[in-house]
Amino acid sequence: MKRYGIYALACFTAILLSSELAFSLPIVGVGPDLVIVVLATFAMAEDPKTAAIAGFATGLGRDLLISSPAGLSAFAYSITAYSVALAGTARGVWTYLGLIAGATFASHALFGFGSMLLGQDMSGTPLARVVLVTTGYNSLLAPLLMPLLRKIALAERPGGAE
Amino acid sequence: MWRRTTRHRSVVAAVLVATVVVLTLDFRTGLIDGMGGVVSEIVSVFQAGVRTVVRPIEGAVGGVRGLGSLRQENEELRQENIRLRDQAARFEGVARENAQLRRQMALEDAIGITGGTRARVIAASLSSLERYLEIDRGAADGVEVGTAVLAPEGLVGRISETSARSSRVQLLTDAQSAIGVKIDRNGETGVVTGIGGNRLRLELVDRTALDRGALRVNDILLTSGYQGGVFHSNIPVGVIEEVDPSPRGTTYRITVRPLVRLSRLDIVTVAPKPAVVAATPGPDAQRTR
Repeated sequence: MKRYGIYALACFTAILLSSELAFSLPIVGVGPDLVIVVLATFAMAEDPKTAAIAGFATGLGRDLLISSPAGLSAFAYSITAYSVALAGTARGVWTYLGLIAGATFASHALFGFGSMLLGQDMSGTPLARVVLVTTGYNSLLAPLLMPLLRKIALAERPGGAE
Repeated sequence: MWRRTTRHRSVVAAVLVATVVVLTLDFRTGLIDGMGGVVSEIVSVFQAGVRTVVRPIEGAVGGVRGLGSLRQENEELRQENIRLRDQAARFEGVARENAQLRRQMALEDAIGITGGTRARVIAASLSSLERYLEIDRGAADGVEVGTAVLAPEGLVGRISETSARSSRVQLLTDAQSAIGVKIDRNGETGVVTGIGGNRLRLELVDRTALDRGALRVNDILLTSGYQGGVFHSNIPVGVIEEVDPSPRGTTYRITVRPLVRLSRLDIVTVAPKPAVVAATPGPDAQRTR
């Protein structure tokens, strides 16, 4: 239970940091999405069903903070977390980075396409650029966060310590 | 294998159903909006805290960056310089803020805005598909949805949502943003829309005027003030950067650079609606300032 509390706290911190970095250190106007980094790291150590539920709850929290229709982030995060959990624990740094990059790409692409399907005006939004830059930004930050996040993800898991 | 596929399908189906339920609640009821307001309120308190912590670090980083040119000087002078720069970095923020406020007041005086509410930018959008900022003033401070938000250089955007203690500002560059403008030089009108990046597009300009060259690079765009009384007129918006006829020559592609550096905002002013200013020019305006 404590683990889920720590996970929630990590997500909250990720929301604050993502927002701050988007403001003070954007790359071509695009900020990172550290929430998906936290979620994907957590999902790697979980069974797919729990990961999907955690993804949905996390996405719903994000939906409450943005203007897009609520449910889109929940859907994108949930499917992404489920897929990451199916892929299993990343043993090496490169596998971890690959999963984070893939998760970021997939969640943002799903979110973008979902927005389009729901009739959001995306005419002026460079979706491809946002998806690619966010993926790159997350890939840059993920190695720095990896040790801490993996510790959180594996905390209190029976036999979870590496 | 069959069992595993069925399990995957059931999880995906459950996620889809949950998504449809949330979407329906969002579109049909105000429940999600209400919850969003409460969550934004809580998060904005922490965001303001993070901003407060990060701001001096930004100043210090700026100070350290400037040290490169001093490497040739002797150690004693270098140490002295570091100390002075460290000190300067601390005061730099205050001086910059002071200068910004002065310029902001000069702009407000020039376009006849009184009673604006000063606000601090506390965060940017979590989603890069949207362009907005969070400020630390909300409905309790008299901030209203739809009102213009200004920086010393000109228009930043408009208030799109408010909660009690914070508000969301839709930036000029947001893809959903559309602002009525006029060319400062000749009064030709058009609409400036966001295109998601750092530039804007000028549309709906009279074709005849375009053909006779009414628009030039470096022309300044000001708000037209025609938008149902939402914006004051003559607020600087942007400068024309490019006027390109389309390949078929049927239309023009006019690119505009915003005058405000939207990524470097600290303090902004939420202008009252023009009609409010006209109706209550004195005491109310003084109170909200």
